[in-house]
Amino acid sequence: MMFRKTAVISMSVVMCILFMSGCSTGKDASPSGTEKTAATSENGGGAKALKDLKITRLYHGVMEQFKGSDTMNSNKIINKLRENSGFNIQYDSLPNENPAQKISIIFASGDVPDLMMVAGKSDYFKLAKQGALEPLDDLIAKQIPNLSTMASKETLDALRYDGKIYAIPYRNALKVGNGLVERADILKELNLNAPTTIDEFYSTMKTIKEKKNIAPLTMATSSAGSFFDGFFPFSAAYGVSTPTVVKDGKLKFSWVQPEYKEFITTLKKWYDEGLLDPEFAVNKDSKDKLINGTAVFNTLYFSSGIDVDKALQEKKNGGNVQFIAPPVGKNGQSGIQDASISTQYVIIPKQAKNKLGAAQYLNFLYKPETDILINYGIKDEDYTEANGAYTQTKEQSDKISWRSMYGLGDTDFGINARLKAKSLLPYYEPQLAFKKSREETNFAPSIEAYDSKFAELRNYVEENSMKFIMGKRDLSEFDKFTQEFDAKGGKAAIDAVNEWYTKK
Amino acid sequence: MKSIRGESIFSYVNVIVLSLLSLSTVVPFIHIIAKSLSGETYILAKEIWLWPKGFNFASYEYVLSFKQFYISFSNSLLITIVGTAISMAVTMLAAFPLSRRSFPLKRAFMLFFVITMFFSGGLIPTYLVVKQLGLLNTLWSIMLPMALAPFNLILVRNFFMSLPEALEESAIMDGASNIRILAWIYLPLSLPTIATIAMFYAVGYWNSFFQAMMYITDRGLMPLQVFLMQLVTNSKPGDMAISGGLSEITPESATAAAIICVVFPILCVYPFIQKYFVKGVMLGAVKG
Repeated sequence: MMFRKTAVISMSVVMCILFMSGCSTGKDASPSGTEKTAATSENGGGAKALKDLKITRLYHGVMEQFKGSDTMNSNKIINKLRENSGFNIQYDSLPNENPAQKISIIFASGDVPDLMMVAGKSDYFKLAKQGALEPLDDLIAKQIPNLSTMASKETLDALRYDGKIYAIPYRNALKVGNGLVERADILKELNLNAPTTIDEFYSTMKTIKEKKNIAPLTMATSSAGSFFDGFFPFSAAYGVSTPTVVKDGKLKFSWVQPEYKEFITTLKKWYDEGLLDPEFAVNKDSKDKLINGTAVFNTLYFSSGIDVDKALQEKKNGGNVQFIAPPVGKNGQSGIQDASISTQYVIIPKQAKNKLGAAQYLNFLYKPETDILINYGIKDEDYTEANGAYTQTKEQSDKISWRSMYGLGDTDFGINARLKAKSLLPYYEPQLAFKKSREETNFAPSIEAYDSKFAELRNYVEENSMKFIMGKRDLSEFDKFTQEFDAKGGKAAIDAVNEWYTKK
Repeated sequence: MKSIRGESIFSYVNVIVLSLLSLSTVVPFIHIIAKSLSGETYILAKEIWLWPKGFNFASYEYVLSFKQFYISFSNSLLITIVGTAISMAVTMLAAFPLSRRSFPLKRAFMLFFVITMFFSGGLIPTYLVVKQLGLLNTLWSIMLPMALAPFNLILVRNFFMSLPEALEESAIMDGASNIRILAWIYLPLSLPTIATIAMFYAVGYWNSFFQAMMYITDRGLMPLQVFLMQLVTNSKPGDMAISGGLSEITPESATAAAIICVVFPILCVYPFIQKYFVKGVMLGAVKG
């Protein structure tokens, strides 16, 4: 009896396992399995690059655009890249949610690609400290001569850890991010010119308020960091738009300077007089106020300009927006955000099978011909070229809109091609001429005391700045606020940064 | 008389409170549907609440034009159906012996299951196990590691324990084997339980997201939730870390349409098992 029971139980277990392995329909064979030719040849230090090359890049929105039978590893552009580089490349992507977690798992499992992208300075330095990355000085010198067009010496030096370079910055060719925007049609209707100084800004807003009875300036600063992003063009007029400023050869937090108090005082005045949207601190998005004409000025990411314009065209009243120069302060200071700082890096893992190939492929990517391929496509099929002038219709561009995911760094040539294809140049180009504020700590290595505290300190200042503006905290307490800031770790953070800055 | 009045007041309050509760769950849903059917301009101008403006289906066309949507949809369907089948089989086969009095190592096994409810092996060790089993980049990596939920196991076991022992005894008299007792007596008696637990599992598999992010890099194997997440996070312009500058921005109406497309299929399942649910809520309760 007992024996029969056991037999039945074990039978059922076997059946169960059979059933599970039986329905193996869920296992799609991946379209192109990589053959492991690497297994037999000697790893690292070998004189010959292997043919197979695995690249893991950060998520890029264009990956969603593959149509028909095209996939990430099977389409005409990647075929051309394989043909021209001589490498059998396979791309895959990190998730766009929490890529750092996946990266640490990949390194822990030892199953690493040959080239990889990481996001954020602190993540990069963490990996470098762990010894997970291949030092690149030699490879750069011998294998990647084209790098000079993609990374300046300064940006490379900022990545040194223990004197060695472990990453190549993913060049960011966009130079403009957020800018100051106006409803040009409303100003025209009231016979007003775009204000150029802070004082003019005030009087222009006064006039609009009198004639239209609206709060002319709106912002959406409800999420962390958005207060500084939004009011950047105004704080720049006081020289306190970036987190740190240089004073007497030292870096100081701009948030505790007397100029910052001036800037807050101005905003408070605007708020009290109804020139600044009373809901600015709770707005999640402020485009609607521009569209509905209940505000005239706002800070927008440049590519949002086209969305607002489209919406204005579709609504009966029409109208258009224009990016204008940031207002100039009394000392002649002004500026918009410098968007060109790269926060993404390309690394070669220490355990990679094909380090030499990785370096050679990077050099191939940084060639001008390759750049044309990944930004325009294939000649006479996707674009035409005559005497250095490239012509590509929107349809041609949309057919291969995913092409830019293969680059590991952007060039000005490439970004212009893509801006043109998306009709964004009118929103982008005018802003190139405006002054950009430079933040020195962007060129610093990872400084623990500063990096780990930064977000907390910034959020603390944002919160208090909004309180000061809305009268929830009295401005006479500004000095007390600076002491609180220092006590919260502000002083320790800036001292640590100055260790680096004064020795530079 | 008084008690009747008290009762009627109670039922009035009941109706009001429950209506408010159900409204609070339905209103956001209607809002999303309205958004998905509206023109992008009206959404940007924040004019949409519960009724669409500029009525059109363009956002659904947009979502359904993605090849990835169909790939992901079929993956999710497969994960849900096969995964639920596996989970149900495993749960039933574990719960039945654990509910038998005569089973000697009952406590040890129960402890073994329950411990996993409170402690997990951690992310990286789990990843390494999945990797060594050769499950990386297969749909199995979503189905097998989480095939058994101890909580559901306890529910089913308690239900089995509540069934009268006489049933089993008489079946043994007639010479029925254990498998037969489970398949012919216990399972038919526990249909409400099966429906409820299957629903728990199915919704869980349909919503599986984290495992897919960890174990799967091949985009041909991505489930629907990952696709949805990517569409949604693509809707913020200027997020350098994600878009690398210039990628296609998802319009907000399309985000709403995608949410509806992802939620709708699993919603369709509810009406069919509604009747079992009412009984299923009484899991392990006294039988009248």
